[in-house]
Amino acid sequence: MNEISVQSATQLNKILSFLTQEHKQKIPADMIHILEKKADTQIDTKINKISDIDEENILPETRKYLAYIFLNYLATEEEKKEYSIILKNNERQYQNYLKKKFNPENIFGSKQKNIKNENIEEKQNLPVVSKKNIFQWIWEKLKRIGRKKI
Amino acid sequence: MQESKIREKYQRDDEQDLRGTNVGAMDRFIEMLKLHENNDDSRIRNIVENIMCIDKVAPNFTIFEGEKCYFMHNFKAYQISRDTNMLVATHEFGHAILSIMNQTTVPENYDKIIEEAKTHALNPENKENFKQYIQYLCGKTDEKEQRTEAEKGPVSDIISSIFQLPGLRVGTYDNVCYFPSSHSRDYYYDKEHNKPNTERIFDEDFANYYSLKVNQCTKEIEIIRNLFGDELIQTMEKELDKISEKILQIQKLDKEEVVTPIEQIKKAIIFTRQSEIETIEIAQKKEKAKEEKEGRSI
Repeated sequence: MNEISVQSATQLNKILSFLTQEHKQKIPADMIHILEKKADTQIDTKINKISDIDEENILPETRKYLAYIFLNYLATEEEKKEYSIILKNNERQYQNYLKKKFNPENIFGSKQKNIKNENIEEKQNLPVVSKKNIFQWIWEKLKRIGRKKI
Repeated sequence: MQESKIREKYQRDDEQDLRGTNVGAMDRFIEMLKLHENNDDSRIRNIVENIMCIDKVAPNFTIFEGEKCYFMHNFKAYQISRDTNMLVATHEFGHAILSIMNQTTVPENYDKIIEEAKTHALNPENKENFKQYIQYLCGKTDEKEQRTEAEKGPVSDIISSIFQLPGLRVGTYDNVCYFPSSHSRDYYYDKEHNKPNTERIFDEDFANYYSLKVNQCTKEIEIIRNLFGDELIQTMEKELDKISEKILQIQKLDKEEVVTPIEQIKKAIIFTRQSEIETIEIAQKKEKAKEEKEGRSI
């Protein structure tokens, strides 16, 4: 919680101020203390009433910390189970979206084809080098020496 | 019904915006709502005409796409697919309406209503008729092809709830008749307190009844009345009256008078991802470990 930004801490502090005492008591006191200490009363949180607590009005960082606080301190057991399913569903949907947008097969697919074609062309242009074994090499050498002496 | 407003609020058209459900699932949801529009019962029509007032009491109500259709009571999340059967879709929407408008509050003496329904079915005058119907419903007779989807679905599950069993033995011990649709004994019966779980029974009975009403299954509603008497049906009708009145009240109220902080918070966090929470959990653990280490060094 120490890493939270001043803007998010201010928003989060304002949101938690709407909670009933019964709910507030479930959140660790040191966490509330950090938020109160970091909050800057000069910042406009855009949250003046309960219905302002909306994803559109809060920072992404605030939303994440709010979700963390809800899941760990405010949710009933039934709410935790349901919210865990929702979190996983959202993650899966996001990963599918990323896969579609940045599909490695789509990015590298056409380049792979080009590399294959280039390899074939290069092979066709290269000079043919025959492979000799050691005995053939020694025999060639002896032949050259024999020609020189003559 | 304000179809365009519903789509604007709950549908995701742009692939970059992951909030909301895709077109296929939304089309199915709209189709389900349109069944309400053409209903003979004005209370059913009233629900869909004023559906946007859900936002006042349940701002976190949202629609997800998924293979299985179900309703999450605590998060007011309704999951549907493009292929969901209408009886199922309306059943789950019945759960949603009961939860949002009435917090699934069980009517007084509903446990007595269930007992009286059972007594009516097993009364000497009605018992033979009941046994024959159960065998027909469970596919043990030659007329099994005549069973409607509504009988195999909502009617079957209502019978299951009254007896808190997935099936019954009819006549002889070995003649076990399993209902085509049911919930398990553990779901409907509270073993710990040795009594029926009236909250779950009422929740499912209402959802099943709602499905029959929206799909205008008058024949199947009469079957329930003949099997279990008038009181069960009357209880469901009273619940529809209450919901209809509640909708009229909510329309007149300002959102601030109705919404609670927790429900509004749920709305704000509904599209958070698992990895986002995990990042914070890891940071919190590191902070705690650091504090403990500093505490030990001092």
